[in-house]
Amino acid sequence: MRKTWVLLLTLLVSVGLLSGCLPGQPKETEKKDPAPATTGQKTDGPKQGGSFTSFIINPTSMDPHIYSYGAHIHRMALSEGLVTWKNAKFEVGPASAESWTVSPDKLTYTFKLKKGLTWSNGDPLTAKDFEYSLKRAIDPKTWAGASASYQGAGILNAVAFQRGEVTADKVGVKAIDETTLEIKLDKANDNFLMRLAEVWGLPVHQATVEKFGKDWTKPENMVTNGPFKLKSWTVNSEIVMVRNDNYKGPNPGNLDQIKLFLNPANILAYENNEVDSVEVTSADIDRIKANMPEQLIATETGAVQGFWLMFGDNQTLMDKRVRQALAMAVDRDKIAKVVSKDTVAPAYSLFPSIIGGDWSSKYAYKYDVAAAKKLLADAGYPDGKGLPEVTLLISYNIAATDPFTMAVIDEWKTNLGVKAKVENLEWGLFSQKRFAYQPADFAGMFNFSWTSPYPDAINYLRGNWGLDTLWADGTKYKEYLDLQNDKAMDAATKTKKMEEFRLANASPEGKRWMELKAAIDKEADPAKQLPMYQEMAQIRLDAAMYIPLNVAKAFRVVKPHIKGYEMNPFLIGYPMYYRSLYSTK
Amino acid sequence: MLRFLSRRLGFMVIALVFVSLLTFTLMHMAPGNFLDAKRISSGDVSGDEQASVDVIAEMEKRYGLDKPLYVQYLTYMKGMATWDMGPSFQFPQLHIEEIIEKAFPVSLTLAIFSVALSIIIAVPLGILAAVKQNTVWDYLSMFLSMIGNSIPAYVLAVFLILLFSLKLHWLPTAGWTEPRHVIMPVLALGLGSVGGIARYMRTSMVEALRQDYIAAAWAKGGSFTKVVLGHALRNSLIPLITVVGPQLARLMVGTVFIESMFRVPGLGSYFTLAANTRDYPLLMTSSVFFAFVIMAMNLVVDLMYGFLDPRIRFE
Repeated sequence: MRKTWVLLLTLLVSVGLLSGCLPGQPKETEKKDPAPATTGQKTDGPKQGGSFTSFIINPTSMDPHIYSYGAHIHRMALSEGLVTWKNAKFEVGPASAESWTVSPDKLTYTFKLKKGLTWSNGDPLTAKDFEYSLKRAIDPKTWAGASASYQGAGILNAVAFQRGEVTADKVGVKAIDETTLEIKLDKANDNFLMRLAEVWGLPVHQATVEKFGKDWTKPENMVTNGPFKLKSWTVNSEIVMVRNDNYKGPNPGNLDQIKLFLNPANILAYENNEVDSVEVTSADIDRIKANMPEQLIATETGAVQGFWLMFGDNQTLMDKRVRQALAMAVDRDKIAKVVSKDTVAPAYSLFPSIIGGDWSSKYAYKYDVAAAKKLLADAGYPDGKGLPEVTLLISYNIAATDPFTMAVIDEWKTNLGVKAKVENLEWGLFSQKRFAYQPADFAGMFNFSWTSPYPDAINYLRGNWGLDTLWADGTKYKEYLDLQNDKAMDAATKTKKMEEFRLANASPEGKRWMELKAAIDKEADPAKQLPMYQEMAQIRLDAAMYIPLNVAKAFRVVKPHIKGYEMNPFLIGYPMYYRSLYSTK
Repeated sequence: MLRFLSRRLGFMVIALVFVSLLTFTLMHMAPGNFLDAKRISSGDVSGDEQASVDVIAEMEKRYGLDKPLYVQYLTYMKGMATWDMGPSFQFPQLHIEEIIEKAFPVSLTLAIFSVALSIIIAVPLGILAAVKQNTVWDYLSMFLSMIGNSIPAYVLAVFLILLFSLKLHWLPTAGWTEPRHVIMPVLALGLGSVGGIARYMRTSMVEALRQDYIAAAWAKGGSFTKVVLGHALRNSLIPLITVVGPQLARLMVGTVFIESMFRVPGLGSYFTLAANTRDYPLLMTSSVFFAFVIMAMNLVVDLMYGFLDPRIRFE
């Protein structure tokens, strides 16, 4: 008996002793940095020093060329590309490149790098680094293709290189000398510079990547060129970044340290003064508005949510008048205000209003119940009689059943007599069902939500929601799927056949859509491209294959001593860059 | 003893292979694949059709998903045997064995501390209830312990955060960098198990106290300590270990809610996310690892029976 007690006691004591060394704590890996260049203290401008602590979505990788939140963290703090966004309007300013010239045909950009730039370990930053990095970003072996942000940047032969049709040296990126980089496009793009500031344009240190392989992103190995550098990364726990004393670019930061806890975010941590900023969800918004309204900041985002037509044996939704009626019979203003309490903004257009211009007002559905009723009657379903129950397919893994959606169903019932219901699936089933061929008793649409990474109207036309697959006869979709799933065919032949099939079987709107796309690709002058894009927006509106419902809003609270926080409307309210933040403490 | 061990270990290996086969089959029967998960969560539904086809082909090749199923299975099993299971789909720059090496000690710490806490509270409660059977002490202690049992750990966690962080400002809401970060997760996990253990303790103590040798010990003039704690307790430990062993095993593999609420970098979040994102290697590993931990723990429990009760011996 005594033995038992001694044993138990020893166990407890040793457990107690072990508590001194907690496994899993981040080790303080101090890299041996070269002596930092003397950086003169700023006498005016924001106060230097201090720290900022907040949350961020868990990055599954810290390689800027592999799509995950790690890429965004690089862009916001650790790495700097040729150009940068100066503000939340995404106006372009110099970064590693201090100046650039554009050829008269707008196909060649020549960048001059700022002299004296270095990596965080002191190595000089040259144009060769950018050539290596840009090619790495589009190399399918780096998996960068998982990111949508590269799409449409239009670098010469980039897509051909991705498909393995040409070698890397044919890609339109070339280092002319140590400080000059030339980029050739395959067609003129007024938004090229804005796109270049995205994550795929960030440079990586070639020697480090080649030496350590996948381990180059470990904090003790990582070499970057931005105003901050990675001090530690505890997976699933937190990221700590500190000032990079070797940063010589034009956009330095003000803080000494940035600590980002990895999600899930907890507003209690903010109220306990452990973090300086946190996102506010609809559950807490009323409480925050009551208790600390002055700390609340908000922005409309570019994330448009709605429903996307599904195809199958059932042809009732194939009549575009039915779809137009559904789109026009919903009072989104009222629902956003009353049901969602202004936590979302109404979207009558697939263009969010935050992108500016008149896209979102011009290419929008009107809330007009009388007109919607008439359309429905013309289509042969007066007062909704004869229409099957419409199914709205959503997935509870992506978002909880949205009260907004339920209100839409209610409006359809009240205004049109159309019955609808929600089908809520686990995401694996959802991902399969949404693009599957549906049986005769199913007429429905699936939930989508998408944002462009920047305010580019063209991206909202070309990046998503195309009419290429708007079939004239919905039953043709089955053949298309068989073609897509044909494992025997090689990728190149399959792509060609799929394109031919789309051209042959699309509806008149779809055919015109593809015609316009092809014409735009041949047109070098953006001014001549514009009316074609506008026509595309108009036919997409008429076709009503996608019904927009609302635009997400981002809400945050920021402690009063943190200044310079500019919300990124295309990145759920995270700051544009961490460099603009400063602390008055 | 050796024969017992070797028979058991042999059985464990067979069981693990069976578990891996079952997991592999179920995993591949589930709809959706890893790439779909990424595309859905990043909202990337279209973009350049061809680029997507290429990227998918590249990823399939990299992960060996283009090989026939039995080859995939064997590759994976070989990886487990050689402790080189390749990268996780979700975290392409982390190898699975790295994940386990880093995260398992964390979950293990949490598990050991919580179980220790449960035992420290539950055993005295159980003894008290048994010794003072059917008195107010009995009812009170059982009632208190059952409250702890009925409240889920994550609800308890929220209460703890509200109390210790927001009201008292004694503890930070979450994290795993200072020793005091251990307190709330351990409380949340530990208090919940108190109920079950206390009840077992009470029942087996009551049973033990009824025995003739206890009456004899009292008659010989034994003190409370000698009779109750020395004799009865030791004999009531067996049911306790039966409960505690698997409990420890379950906690060692990580508890999702507590780990994510307190931002503890343990196995829990990895393993649950693996199922959701169809991260095949990680999912296989989590299933087999969990099975291994449970079986190992059961083996330890069986061995401890022998240590605690000389009547139970194996050839």
